[in-house]
Amino acid sequence: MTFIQWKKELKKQLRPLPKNEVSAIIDYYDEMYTDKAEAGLCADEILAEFGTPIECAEKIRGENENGSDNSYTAVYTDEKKAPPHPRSPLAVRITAYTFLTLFIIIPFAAVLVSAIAAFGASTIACSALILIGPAAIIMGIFYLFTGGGIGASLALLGGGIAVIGICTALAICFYIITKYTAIASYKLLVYIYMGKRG
Amino acid sequence: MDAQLKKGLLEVCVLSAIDEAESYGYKIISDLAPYIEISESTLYPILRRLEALGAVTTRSAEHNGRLRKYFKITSMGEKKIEEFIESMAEFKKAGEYITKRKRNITEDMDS
Repeated sequence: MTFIQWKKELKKQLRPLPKNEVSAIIDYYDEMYTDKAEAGLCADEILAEFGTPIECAEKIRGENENGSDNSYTAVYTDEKKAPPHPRSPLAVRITAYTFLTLFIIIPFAAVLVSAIAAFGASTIACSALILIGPAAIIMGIFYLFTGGGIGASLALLGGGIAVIGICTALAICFYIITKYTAIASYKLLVYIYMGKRG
Repeated sequence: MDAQLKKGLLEVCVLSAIDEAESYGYKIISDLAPYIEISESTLYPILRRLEALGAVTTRSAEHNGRLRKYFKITSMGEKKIEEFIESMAEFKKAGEYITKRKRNITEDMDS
C-alpha cells in the first residue's frame, strides 16, 4: 500500500467526522510522513509505524466520542471557530419543516419512490426476459434436428443469444440505476432533516 | 496501564515535551518514545484536546519548502504540569499503600 492509498482509506474510515477535521487529520499525517521520511525511514517502515487506516480511524473516532471536551478545535487547521449560528424560534422552525415536508418532500419523495419502483420493475422484467433466450436456443436446436429448416433454426439460435445479451445488459443497467437512485434519495432526505451526510 | 490514567499522563508528557521550547508532532513523539508508548494516532487527539483546553497554542512555520505545525505551551499548560508534580507525592503514597496491602494479603495467604 502506498501512502496515497493509505490516506484514501483513512479518509474513507473517517467519513462520519466533519470535513474540516478529516482535512486536519490528513494534514497531520502528511507532516508526520514527511518528517519521518526526512529522518531516513522508508515508506513501508512509516506506514507500519502508523498502523492500518482502520486502527488510526478507530483511535481518533474513539477520542472524538469519549473525549473530555465536546467542542471541536482542529489542531491542524488555522480556521478559527465559527460563532454559533443563531437558531430560529421553535414555532418558525416547526412551520418551516411542516411546509417543507408537505409541499416539497412528500411530492418529491413520491416521485422518487415511483422512479425507484419503475427501475426495480424494469430490472425484474429484464431478468425474466433473459429466460426467453435459452428457450429460443432450445427451440432452434430442436428445429435443426427435426428438419424444421436451417434458416429458422439459425434465426432462433441468433435471436436467443441476442435476447440473453441485451436483457442481461439492460437488467444490470436498471439494477445500478435503482440502487443509486435509492441511495441518493436516502442521503438527500438525511441531509435535509439531519443536516449532515448520511 | 489503565487507559484513563495513561491518557492523563500522556497529556502531561506532551506538555513537558514542549515546556522548554516549542516543538512539532514528530519531535514530540521522538522525545517521548524512550519513556512512554505513544503513537501518531494517540498524539493527534491529545494535541487537539490540549489546544481546545487552551494549554497549547499553535503556529505554522516554513520548513524545507513546506509548512510545519509548531506547538507552544501556555501558562495554563505550565499550571497543569505543576499540578501534576504536586499530585505526584499523593500518587506515590497511594502506590505504596496499594503495594503494601497486596504484599500483606499474599503473605497471609502463604502462611
